[in-house]
Amino acid sequence: MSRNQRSAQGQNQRRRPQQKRQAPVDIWRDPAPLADIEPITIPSEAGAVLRSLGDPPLMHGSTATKYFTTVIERAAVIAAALALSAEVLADPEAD
Amino acid sequence: MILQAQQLEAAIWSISEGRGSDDELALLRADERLSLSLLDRLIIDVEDDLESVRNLRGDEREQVVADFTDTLNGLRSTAALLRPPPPPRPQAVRTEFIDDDIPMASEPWEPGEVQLQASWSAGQVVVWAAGRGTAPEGNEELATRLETIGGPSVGWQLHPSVPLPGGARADAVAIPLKDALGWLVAIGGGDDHTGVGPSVLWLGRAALEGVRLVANGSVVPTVRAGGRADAGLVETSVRWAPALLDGGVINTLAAAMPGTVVAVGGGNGRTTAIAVVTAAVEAIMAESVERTELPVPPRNAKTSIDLEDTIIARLDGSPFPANANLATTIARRMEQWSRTVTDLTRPKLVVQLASPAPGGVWLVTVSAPTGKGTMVPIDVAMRTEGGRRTLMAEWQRLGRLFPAVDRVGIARRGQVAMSQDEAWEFMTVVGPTLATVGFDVRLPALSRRKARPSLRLFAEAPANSVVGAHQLSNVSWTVLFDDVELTADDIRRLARQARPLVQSSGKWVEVDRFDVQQAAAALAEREKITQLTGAEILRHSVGLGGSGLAGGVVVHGNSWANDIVRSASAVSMAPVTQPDGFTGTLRTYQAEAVAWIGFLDAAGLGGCLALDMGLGKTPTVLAHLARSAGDGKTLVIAPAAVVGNWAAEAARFTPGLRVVVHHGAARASDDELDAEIAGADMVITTYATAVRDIEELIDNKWRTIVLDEAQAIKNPTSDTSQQLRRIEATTRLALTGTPIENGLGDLWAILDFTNPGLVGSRPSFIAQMSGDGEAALRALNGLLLFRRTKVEPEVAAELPDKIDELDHCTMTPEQIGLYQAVLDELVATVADTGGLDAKKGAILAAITALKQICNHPAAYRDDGQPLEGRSGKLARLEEIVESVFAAGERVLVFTHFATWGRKLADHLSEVTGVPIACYDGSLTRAVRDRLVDEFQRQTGPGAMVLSLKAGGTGLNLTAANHVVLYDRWWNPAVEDQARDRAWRIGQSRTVISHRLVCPGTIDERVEEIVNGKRHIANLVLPAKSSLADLNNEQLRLALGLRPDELLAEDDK
Repeated sequence: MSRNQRSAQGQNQRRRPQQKRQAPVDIWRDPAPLADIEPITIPSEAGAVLRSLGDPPLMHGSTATKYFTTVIERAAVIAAALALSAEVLADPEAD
Repeated sequence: MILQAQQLEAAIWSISEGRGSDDELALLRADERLSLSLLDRLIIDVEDDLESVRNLRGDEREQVVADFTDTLNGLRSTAALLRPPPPPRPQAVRTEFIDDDIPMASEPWEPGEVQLQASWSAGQVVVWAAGRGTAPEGNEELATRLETIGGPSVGWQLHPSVPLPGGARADAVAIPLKDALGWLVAIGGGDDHTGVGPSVLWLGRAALEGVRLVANGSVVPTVRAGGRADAGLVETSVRWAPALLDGGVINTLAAAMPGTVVAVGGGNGRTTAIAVVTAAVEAIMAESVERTELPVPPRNAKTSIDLEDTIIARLDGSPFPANANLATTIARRMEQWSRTVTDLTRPKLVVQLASPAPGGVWLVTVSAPTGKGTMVPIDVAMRTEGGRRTLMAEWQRLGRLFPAVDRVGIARRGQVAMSQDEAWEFMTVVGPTLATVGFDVRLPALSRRKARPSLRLFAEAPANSVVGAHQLSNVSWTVLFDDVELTADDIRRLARQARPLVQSSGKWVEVDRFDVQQAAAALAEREKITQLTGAEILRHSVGLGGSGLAGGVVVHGNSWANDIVRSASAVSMAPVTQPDGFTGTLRTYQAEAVAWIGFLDAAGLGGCLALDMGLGKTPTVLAHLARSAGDGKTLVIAPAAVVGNWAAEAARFTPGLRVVVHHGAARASDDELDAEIAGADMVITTYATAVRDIEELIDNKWRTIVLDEAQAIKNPTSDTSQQLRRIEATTRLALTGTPIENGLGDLWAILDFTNPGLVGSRPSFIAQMSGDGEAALRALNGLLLFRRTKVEPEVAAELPDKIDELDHCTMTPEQIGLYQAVLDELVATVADTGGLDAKKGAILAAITALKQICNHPAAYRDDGQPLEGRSGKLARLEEIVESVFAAGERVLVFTHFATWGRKLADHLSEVTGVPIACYDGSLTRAVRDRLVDEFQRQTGPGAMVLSLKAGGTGLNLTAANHVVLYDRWWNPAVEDQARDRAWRIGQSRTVISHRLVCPGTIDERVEEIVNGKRHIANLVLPAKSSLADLNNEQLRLALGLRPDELLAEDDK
């Protein structure tokens, strides 16, 4: 839902006074525990999501796809390096 | 006024969505009244929207409600930023931020630890240090803390202090996420969170989700055209947006978000989580773009083509002015293009590959979710379900990566029949890719491990058949690919398939076509083999039958050989470490070895006990003999040098056994032998004596025959080997620490002795084991051989740091004659000598001479003759060095006679072919240092002879893990110091120390004195007396040979 949609919808609604009082937050509260980390896997084709969308709606869509794919693949390598340094990269040999 | 309200509203949305800047916050604060008024209106609007969408039905409801709830919380948080904080409460546990979902803590609390905290504010990580109820740290302490924790060293800027509950303020610094990304994800993924507060960890985990998306390629370019149009131009930029964002992950992150994360910038859990994930994605993408060569942008972007070129040239996100109409149009089209992967409410198609029924085909089906939480075929969904447009978009996405779903000839959309080849491709390539791009892919279980073929031999013995190696069993042959059994017909069928697959343990496994061909050939080769003897089946069981397949032969069924293998595998289940009749405690591997010997005994088999030197073969065998005492006699055949050891160890560990040593000139004659060994449990003899008295030994019935140092029979054609094979016994045991000293031929010779004929011919044995000795040891271990080495962790764990062994050595006739002559001369000299000092001097000189003779006749008087065969000690030393070298290890040999040490070094160099130096006092310091350095640096077989005086202290010789004390010294501390050259800091292995002693000689008297005994040769020395006080008879008793203890090497 975009902001404009929200605004447009909101303008059509009857305004009414705020009814709820908000409770203050304890910044030192104990939050819910974080979930266990799922190892990060490296797909065989980092550009697959992009490929699944087809060429972008540009006049030279295939050229744009080439650049987009290059950037995405390179970024995937950087992300893999970050995952490796954080020791969360999945073992590619795991069956 | 209108313009100002628009700007304020834009700033409100920015801040409430977690991406606002400090400038925008300042803008709102500049007109707080108007801003709060706008905020109240927006909050009311969204509350109404939320109430409306709560009435929605269908799958989207939950997501839309969550979306509006987030929006509402974001707006409320923004409003809270502008409203003055309420007065502090006594517990001081609140802050001015608002969140409906998080209840306020009301319980009293304990002051917390000061930790590094991180808040998210407008794309920046704001870092401060404080804890609940504690004074916050100042900037200097904060900088030190950041450095200690390993935070980024550059990129920080001072940030306004952070207001804390109770009115305190924490000094803070800020850094853009892109400059802190590596640090944060390392914290997010790491285990060590010392000094790091939960907010830092949370930001790290949120950033890791961004990393995960980019690693997966789940990111799409979008175009943003916004702001005020000026002269028809609008500020335009490319933004990389996360795709396939998992709503569940975001919700979990939101629930776990500590309040400190929004202590600066406000916002709620969900919007903050999305903002951090998005910022991490953008940071990585910016880094990638920076490393990519892009075209130069056109000068302006006023035409469509120029605008598109500019978009490609500015993938780094840098803003540029563009024609407002064109930019807005492209932004909208790009948004529509990527919506199917950025929309959190998109329907998730299920793509399923079903295993074929027998004789059937592989089938891929596609289904879609309904509004009722069920799945229907895509064909049905596209006709009946709402949201046809999004379903179609997903269907098209599927078709781009899996074209077969749309191929010609498909009767029904979403049902694709596949060949086995296509199915494998789908399981291994297409399916995982579809999962990557957001489809719910369901595949049959798959194993990427290649199925390993082996030949299965099923043997069944007819009822009432003779049990043993000659038992004839009916056999059949099949092939196993992992756990899948295939007959010859199955193999032929498999061979016809383009991509052979088998289902193993519920998982599909690809089978190598070459393996299928090999399996077919192996079965064809054995088609006519329908019967095998027990020995032949056993040979297959231990890998000596050959199969031509990678997995060898697996023997199943019910035959003598099967029983043997089953029994062998159960041997070490409950090893007994303190067997009856055995004084002492066995180590675990020794107890397992005893159980294994018991198994051999019960099965009527023989075997090779191949424990590394120092692991205690003798006590292990003695423990078995103690357990089986009364079952029959045991004949132990050993090198003369260790006969004494056997007798001594038997007396120590198995005092209940009746032991006879059949050796030496005084041994029982042929006629007397039967009577002598009639009541014995164990008869110990030497190889030479056994060969000499072979006929008498053959005439006796032996339960067990033990060959110690069984390398003695490694030449199967030697007389010793041939003669000893004539002695019948229920169990033949061969003991050796080096079963493959010179290759597999040695092992075959030993095994062929212990189980004649069972392991086949020598050439076939070597061929089946592919010449690989270690592989052979592994294959046979636990069945025909029991192998343990010092390097095995479970063995090493039980070993002491050092093992001291006393080796009883023989005296050759030459040594005995010389010894007696020196003693006679001493007695005569002493009788003629009047003064006590002179008498003492003569005695000490004689003692030295006697010790030298025990070492070697040439140590006493160098006659220039070869050393070989003239000393029992030297023979034992040669055996030790041979074993040490066979294990690739290093040994130190100590003697306190330097001249003899040099001879010894030359002799050992000649015998072993390895250069061996002598370290003694005649060498310069430089040479000595070089010798030590070389010895320590070199690896593999090696030895050094050292004089006890020059080398007994101070040196570090940890490259050696064996020490031989060739002769004895009166003071045991000197011997310990010598041994400690190897056993010291830096030594990681067990050090085995051998002390060589000739029983019945001066050597043993030294041993007695070393052991603190004052009883020497049945004499009790008065406390203050010395040998010089003794008369002739006492002198002979003190220094003379004791024939009953002497180990005479009479049979060479």
